[in-house]
Amino acid sequence: MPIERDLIVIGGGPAGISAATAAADAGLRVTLLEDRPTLGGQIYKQPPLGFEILEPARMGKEHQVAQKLLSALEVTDVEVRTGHTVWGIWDQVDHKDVGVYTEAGESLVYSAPDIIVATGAYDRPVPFPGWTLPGVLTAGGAQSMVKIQKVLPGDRILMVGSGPLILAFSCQLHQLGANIVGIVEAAPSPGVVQRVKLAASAGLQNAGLLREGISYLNYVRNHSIPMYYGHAIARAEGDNEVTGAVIRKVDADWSPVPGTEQRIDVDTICVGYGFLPSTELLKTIGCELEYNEQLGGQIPTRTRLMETSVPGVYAVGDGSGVAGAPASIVEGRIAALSVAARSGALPKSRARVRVRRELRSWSAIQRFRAALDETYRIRPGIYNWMTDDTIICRCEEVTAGEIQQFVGTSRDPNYVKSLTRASMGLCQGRNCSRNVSWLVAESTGQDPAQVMSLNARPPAKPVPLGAIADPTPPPIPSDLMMSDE
Amino acid sequence: MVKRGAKVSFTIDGQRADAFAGETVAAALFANRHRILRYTSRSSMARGVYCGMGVCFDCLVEVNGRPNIRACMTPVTSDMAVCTQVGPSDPVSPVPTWGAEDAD
Repeated sequence: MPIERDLIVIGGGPAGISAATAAADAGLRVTLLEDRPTLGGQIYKQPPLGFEILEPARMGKEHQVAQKLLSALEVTDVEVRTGHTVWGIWDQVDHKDVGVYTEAGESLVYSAPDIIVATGAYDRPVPFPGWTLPGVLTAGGAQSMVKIQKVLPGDRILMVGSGPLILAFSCQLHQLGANIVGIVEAAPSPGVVQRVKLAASAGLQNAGLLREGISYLNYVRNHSIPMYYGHAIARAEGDNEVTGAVIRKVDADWSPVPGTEQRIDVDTICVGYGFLPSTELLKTIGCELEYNEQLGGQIPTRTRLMETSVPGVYAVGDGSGVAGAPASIVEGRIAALSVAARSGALPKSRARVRVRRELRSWSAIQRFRAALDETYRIRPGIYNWMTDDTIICRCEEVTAGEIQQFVGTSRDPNYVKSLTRASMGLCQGRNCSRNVSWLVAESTGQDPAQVMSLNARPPAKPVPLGAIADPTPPPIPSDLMMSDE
Repeated sequence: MVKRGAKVSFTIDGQRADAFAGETVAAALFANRHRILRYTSRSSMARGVYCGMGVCFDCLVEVNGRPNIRACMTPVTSDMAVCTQVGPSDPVSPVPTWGAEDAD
């Protein structure tokens, strides 16, 4: 029997927590489903159960914002379910069904007239020679290990990437004791004009973020952490583990500049070139998508009220297009208010006033982000960092050369997938499908935005057969049973 | 600033090692300087922790006899036996995607 609620929120990061809280405040019966054992998503990841924070005041601004969000949620009657993985969502028109598999091995179905999908994002997979070696971690993975697990990933760490986050991560890790031997930033050193533009678009809302940015640059300078502007990772060296990194200059489009390689002695490389939204669930339910390279590729089209093309399915936060925590929190609220108004729980006039206020905040955040993105946008040369021998599908160990061999005249990545097994592994194409699509585009002279998507079907996360199979199947009729003769 | 859980003992490929209750197997392995978690089926490539958040499925290890356990998503427990996974999983045994709380 499906568990019926007024609203199901999928994902317990900033967007989901914010949405669930606002919806419950408006009187809706809400269930918040979170895959992990704790809430907070990636940016507000909480310490492991059993760890205790002794001095919360010294944990930094992010921690304070996270605690405020979590406290606000705690006083509502939102039914919070951690260890609950959503593997499928179905549109039954007047309601949506949500398929859940729990860490205790239970199979459940939730049902509600409206759902808010807040599934967040994950680090952009950037293939380069040696990227599969132990010792190469995503910036997010490294941050998790150091900030949350309190373990350093290595003794000599090279940070490679682009944008304010890689700078912030580097300083945070260094502050926590990591030996950061260098920060390799693909964009050129921001010139005076760019700095003025950033400052001008910052506004009051974002003044804090701008101040943070400047203090991180001061931190790097004061601690003499080598900063390599206009450089990128060329390859990771080592047989079974990272023993070194080769970096090189890149031009304005991030294409490698020949003859500029230099080797750095490191045992760990943290890679941070942005994020991709987790749009798998939205794709399976048939949401209309649009292509935006800067926001992470294919993202759902949404109304200003965060509703996708499937009525009753809302999408908020980084899972719909990477835009950061402040935007995610506002988007969660907008969607919740919209659902509350539609269901009649909140008078439309009151909802309108509040949504207008949230939209104003949202616009201010977007303006600053647009200026930041202009400086640090992903440039197409990043796709030239892979060679023929570079593994593209990590799970199934398929190289770029093998993929290109099978592209042939087909314009369809599903065809390439069938022939090479690329995107058939456990990560379900999260770490390779964009790069496979790019290779198809390149080989067939298409624009990456025109390349067909991979067919998306549930389960959106790997689940055991027991999650879907009926544990008590009906008996097989005797005339269909095989006889023993 | 952060007080860890209780100290526990576990094994890495049969050797005793220390960990803190509640931390991930990945963290416990890294703290013990053990970063090669498995060798792949097709080309025996060494793999370890990549995404750290449970989506890449690279950090697979054998835990208490069960293969394909994501080290970054599994909390360490007392006397847990963690082994380097070599090649494909045993096709007969189930493929859990969570921790191994229910493994004996």
